[in-house]
Amino acid sequence: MNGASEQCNQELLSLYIDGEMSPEESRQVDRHLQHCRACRQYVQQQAELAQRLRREVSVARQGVDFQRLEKRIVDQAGGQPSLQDRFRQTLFSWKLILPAAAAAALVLFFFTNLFQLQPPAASGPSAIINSFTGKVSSVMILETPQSHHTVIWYREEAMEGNGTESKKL
Amino acid sequence: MSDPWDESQLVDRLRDGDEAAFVMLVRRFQARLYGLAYAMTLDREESQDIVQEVFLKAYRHIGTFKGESKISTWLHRITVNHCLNWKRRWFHRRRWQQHPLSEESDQPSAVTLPDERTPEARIREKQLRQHYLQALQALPDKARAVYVLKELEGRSYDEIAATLGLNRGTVSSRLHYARKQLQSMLREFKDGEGS
Repeated sequence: MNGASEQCNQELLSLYIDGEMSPEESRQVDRHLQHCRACRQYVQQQAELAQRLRREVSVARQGVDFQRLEKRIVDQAGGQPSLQDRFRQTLFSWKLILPAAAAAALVLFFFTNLFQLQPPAASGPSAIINSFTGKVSSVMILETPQSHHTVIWYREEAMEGNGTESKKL
Repeated sequence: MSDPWDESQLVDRLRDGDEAAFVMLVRRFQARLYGLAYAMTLDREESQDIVQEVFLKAYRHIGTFKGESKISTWLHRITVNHCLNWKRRWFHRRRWQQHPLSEESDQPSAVTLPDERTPEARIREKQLRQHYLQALQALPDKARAVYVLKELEGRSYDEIAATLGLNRGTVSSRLHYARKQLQSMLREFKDGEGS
């Protein structure tokens, strides 16, 4: 865009309008504008459009009671906790406590049931005796309440031999 | 003696939950943010609600403001995002599309018409204004955000890029696109007058 004869570049004109060019580039555009009516018109129209936007906004602002808006905002913020308060509140809020309590209850329930489902450890026989010879002073046959294991308990009188069958069923 | 309300001190006091600092923040930026919201939405009432939401968000999230940019840049970013979200909500989109400027075009124009202007000139100005608002409204959101930050706020390309999370090239091309669209609207209007 060095002279009027070259094709006009509106994107470069945008950079020129916005002051985003180097001083040397701006001088080149200045020189171009002296000769190019279309580009001068473009720059002028963009200035008009920008001015129109600012005027529209200015009129809209005039219709606002900013003191009232400020009060509305400050009042609303006053009812809102700050970041630190929110953190503290979150820690102790029902939103956190309720799920935490529910989770704890679930864990408790799960483990309680887990232990209850396992059969109580039956006291296993101290030895499996297949035969027994000797005198038995007393015998007790027991059954465990939940696992229904049969336990035969006996008492020997003498240690001379083994004869009685004893097993856990 | 330093200004007790310079930006860094203002931010520090906001982080400490100082209510006076928050009042100062609102007082300092509400008109600018309102202008930005209005230029984005062209809705006077909604713009007030958006400004309110922006400040409340800033109040709640001041702890996340890292101070890498100006606080005005941060507030502008929140405002633009709120405006874009506002338009995305179907209710507002519908309102934007179907009853776009009925209220706004009834509002008085900022153009003060001298008494000597003819009724024809007044009518022409009213029509041009309507045409302009429609063209502004027809711009894609992203192009309008860049245009408004440039022409209303006078932000540099780098500042706009930081505000909107873009690179300079995108800022430049979107700005050029917005200008071209608005200029073509103006040309159509003038050509229509000539015919």
